[in-house]
Amino acid sequence: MMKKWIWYTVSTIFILGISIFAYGFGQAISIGIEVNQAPGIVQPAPEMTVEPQMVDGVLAMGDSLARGTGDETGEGFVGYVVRGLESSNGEPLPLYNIAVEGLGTQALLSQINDPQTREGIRSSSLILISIGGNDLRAIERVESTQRSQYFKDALDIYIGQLGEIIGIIRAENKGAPIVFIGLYNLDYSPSNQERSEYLIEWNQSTQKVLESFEGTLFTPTYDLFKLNLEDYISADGLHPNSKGYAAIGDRILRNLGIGKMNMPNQY
Amino acid sequence: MVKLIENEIIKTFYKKRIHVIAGILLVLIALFAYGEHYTLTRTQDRVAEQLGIENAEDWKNIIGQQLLDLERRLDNPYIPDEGKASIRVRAEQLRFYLDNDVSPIGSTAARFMGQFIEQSIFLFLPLLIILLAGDMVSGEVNAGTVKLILTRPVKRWRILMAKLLALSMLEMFVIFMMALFSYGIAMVVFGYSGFNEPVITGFRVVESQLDTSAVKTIPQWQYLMMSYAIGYFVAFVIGSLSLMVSVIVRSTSASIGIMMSTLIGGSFLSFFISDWKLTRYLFTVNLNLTSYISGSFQIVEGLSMSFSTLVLLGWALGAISIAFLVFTQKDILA
Repeated sequence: MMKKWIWYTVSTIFILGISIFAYGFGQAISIGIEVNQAPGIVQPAPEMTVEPQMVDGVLAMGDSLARGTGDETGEGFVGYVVRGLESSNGEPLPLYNIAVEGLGTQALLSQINDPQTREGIRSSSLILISIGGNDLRAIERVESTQRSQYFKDALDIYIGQLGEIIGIIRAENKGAPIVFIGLYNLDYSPSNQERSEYLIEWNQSTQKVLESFEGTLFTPTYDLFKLNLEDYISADGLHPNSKGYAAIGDRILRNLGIGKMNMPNQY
Repeated sequence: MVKLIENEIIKTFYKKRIHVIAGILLVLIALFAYGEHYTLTRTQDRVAEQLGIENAEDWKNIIGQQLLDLERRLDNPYIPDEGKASIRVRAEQLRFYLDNDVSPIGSTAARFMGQFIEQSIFLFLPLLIILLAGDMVSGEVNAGTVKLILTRPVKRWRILMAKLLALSMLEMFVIFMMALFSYGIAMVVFGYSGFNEPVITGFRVVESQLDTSAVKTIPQWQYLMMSYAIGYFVAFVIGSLSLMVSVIVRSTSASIGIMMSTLIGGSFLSFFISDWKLTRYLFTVNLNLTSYISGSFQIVEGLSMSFSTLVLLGWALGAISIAFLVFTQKDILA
């Protein structure tokens, strides 16, 4: 009796199994065929390739802040600035945003070296940059005794890279203003003195590099967030929310003298 | 013939092979599930700390954010179509999580089943099959029962055929047990089945680089069907090889030992795949078939799903032929 049961069970499972097997294998093969027929590219495009001619538009680059992460409406300070300029000029302004979440300064440098990006830089009338935050945040994972040395090294590297980036941009485009936003703090309490000092020094060094080039505008954000962390930071506790981005965008617009647009293409 | 097969299967059950395998499966799957559960809570804490999530509900905001960002990128006319495929599938996954209120960090029974077969297909599953098949012939030689079989008026090849077919059926049974146990235990530990969850597949290698332009999502249950089907195929190949060794070698322990050491030793040779062309024709390095559909494969020139499948098939057919040849010719009775 038992013997028969074993036989029936095993053979039933086998028959079921073979059907599933045939189906599953067939699926795997058909997906394989489908996949191989689709046109392919040699490399997955990393966000980047430029095709159309951008004339007199805005180019935004850098990390998640330039991307607008944390903004419920999705536009970030970049979108805010573009809208502000459009309503002031009375005509639409193309926006080209190549920012990538989590980008570091080294990666931005590589991105800029791409010939297509250079083309984009050449044909822009305004360039917005946000970078460095991710580089500096790495310091939190460093042991506290080594932080001070780590900071010095990281800052040196960053300054070198920043100089190269601005240099390349200026080489491609002599006239377009370059707006660079500074870093803000997530914890302004006096107990976290060390962090504030690093941020301040980082921001100051950034400003110095920028000022060594023509037509640059360092826009600080440190003071904007100091008293408004509750209102300006999004749910993820790291990025600004819509209001926060509006505050940044607002400052940029006022610095650009919105209403009295002055963006020469040739110096 | 059917009677012969039936006989072989019953013999295996009586030898308690299946019971041993079932026991090993149960214990291992339970440990795996517990381990997963254990690391899960720690991962959740770590992720929460990184993203600054206050409570469990916040993951929705973050997913919503990421989804918004991805959708904007899809609208960007400056990204070529080929680059959009990977963005699109990621967006589909995120949309699923939101619509179905599933946290992407947690685990589900379906995911667990998939992970288990992916992890066990290249070593653990073959080992189980070796246990099952290793003594199909040599065991009988050892016990002396082979003489009883061979004196009956049944052609030799029929006997071996019956063993082979019985083995194939039992391999299916083992796969079935694996699926059943992993589903059962996972449901107990994690609770949510998640069979409709979208899984990304469709990776391929174009000119030595990972090409994601044709990726698409398929539901988890379809992915599982494919994975387990592949698992059965691997089981069949290993089973055939074990059968051959069992026919050639007269001792059970030697038979199992040879297969195991070939399996484990052979996997070391996968280090040389890129340079020493010959190694890619070994069966051991081609066992990890599920990695081709899950996208976690190592990119090696010329190695693909079809290549590995053909290599394994070649080994299986070769092994079966040799087994039949030896069994029908060799003088086992001496």
